[in-house]
Amino acid sequence: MAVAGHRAALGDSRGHPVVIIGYDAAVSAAHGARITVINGDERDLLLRVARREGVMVSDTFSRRFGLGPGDTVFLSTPDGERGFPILAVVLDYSVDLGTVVLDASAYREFWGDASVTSYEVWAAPDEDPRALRQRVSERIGYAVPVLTSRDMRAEFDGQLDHAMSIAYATELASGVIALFSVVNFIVVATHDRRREIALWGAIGTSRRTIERILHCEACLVGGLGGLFGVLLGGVTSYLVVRGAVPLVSGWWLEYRFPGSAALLAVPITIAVAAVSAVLPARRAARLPLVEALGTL
Amino acid sequence: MSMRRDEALVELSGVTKVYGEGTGMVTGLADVSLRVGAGEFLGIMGPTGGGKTTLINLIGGLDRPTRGTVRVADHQLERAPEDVIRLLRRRHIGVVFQAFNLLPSLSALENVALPLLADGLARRAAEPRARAALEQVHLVERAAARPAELSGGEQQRVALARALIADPMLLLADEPTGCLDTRTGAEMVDLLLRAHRLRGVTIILVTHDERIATACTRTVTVADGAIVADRRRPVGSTAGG
Repeated sequence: MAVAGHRAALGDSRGHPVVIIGYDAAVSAAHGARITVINGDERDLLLRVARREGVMVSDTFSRRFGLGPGDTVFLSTPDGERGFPILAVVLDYSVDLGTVVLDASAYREFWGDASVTSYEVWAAPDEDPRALRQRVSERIGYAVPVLTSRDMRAEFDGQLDHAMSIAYATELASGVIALFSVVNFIVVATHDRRREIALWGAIGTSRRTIERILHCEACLVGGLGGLFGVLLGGVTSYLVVRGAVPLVSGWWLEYRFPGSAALLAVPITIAVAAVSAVLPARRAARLPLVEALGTL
Repeated sequence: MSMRRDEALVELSGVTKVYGEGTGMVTGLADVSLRVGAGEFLGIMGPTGGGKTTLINLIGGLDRPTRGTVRVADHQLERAPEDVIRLLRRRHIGVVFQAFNLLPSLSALENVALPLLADGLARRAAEPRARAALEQVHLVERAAARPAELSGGEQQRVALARALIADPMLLLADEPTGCLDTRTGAEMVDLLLRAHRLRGVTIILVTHDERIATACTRTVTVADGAIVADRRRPVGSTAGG
């Protein structure tokens, strides 16, 4: 078992509030850190932080202040301003102010603050994390929340799901609206083309062939609609993730195109269109020819 | 499907057609009987609303009689399944409408090829036949034109080429010159006569025009839902022949 104590505190960088994290880098490097470094080896960088060669900053900080690896960040300490070379940029969505990660011992030394905000505990390979959690809770008292990494991920996932529930509801509503739109489109399209469809019948086209033609058209419309939706959705989601989210929250999220969902979208819209076309196509193929041709 | 010359190609027996129900009921045809032999060129005449179009619709299987029987070749249309009637129309009956009824999004050539495509023929095989059919109506140079780019006469010639492309034994034409001027109408009648003479196709044509009726080997007059006159042209006096 190993334990690392981390400290997070509000600090100041040339008049701007930032979050300073005193991170037990040596222990974290030895047991596997839960940080994501952009362009670099996590373990190697943590060891460099532990050796006090410099600090890591969050991508939010990097974008906010326009600083990156090779630059120096200046932080106010009780003894005055001190400069720290930036070694790397890490992904951190905990706060939008921007964070500076330095070694816990350096934080204690420069800020004279030995308190700890959170402990990270690594269980031994043969140890049951839930039993360990129970032991830790009993030792320090139940007032302090103790979470396994799995519980923590579940907690975050739950919060994300909760936050996204409105988006999911909107997704469902737009799906239902799209379904009705397709049905409506096909009904209107076949109604507008009554005379044309009746003409097919008048020249002897079988009902089955007419249904098949209308089905193919519906599938084509569905497929094109799905493709257009994927393209439009891709562009819109990129603009939201890369444009609106950083503007509103200060977070720079990684954009990932949902390839598998996009691949599924087109066959799904084709299937929806095909199902939607069943009744209108059937009705259209059974039009009373004389009436529809207007030859009465 | 073959027919003996003396055998009736079309036979209607006691046919009544009623439209609507209750107080809105209208009788289109009442107890009509008619035999049309193979190779005839029959003109159906009569006042508007007399039942001419109803008669031709029933012969073409576009509509079904309320009572009575309609036989075309060896098919009893009043009880034949819809797809059998459509197959008959696709392969053996050509239809020309007064309003042309061409598909506006297709070229003249594609419109003419439609019955063959509907019969499952590949486009590659259908197009040369469509081109040949357009040639017969002297319109091959307009093959790529859309209906909106064609005059009324040209559109009706495309419709005639479409009706003839499957080499039908029976051609039904509902006032094919109704929307045409006198000269274009006369050209249309010439084309119909040519098809009748060269292909031996039986033609049943609805018309108001007495001059067109003189081209027919036989005329029947339909008024108030009944056949009120049936005249055969004396042998050897066929107009246009």
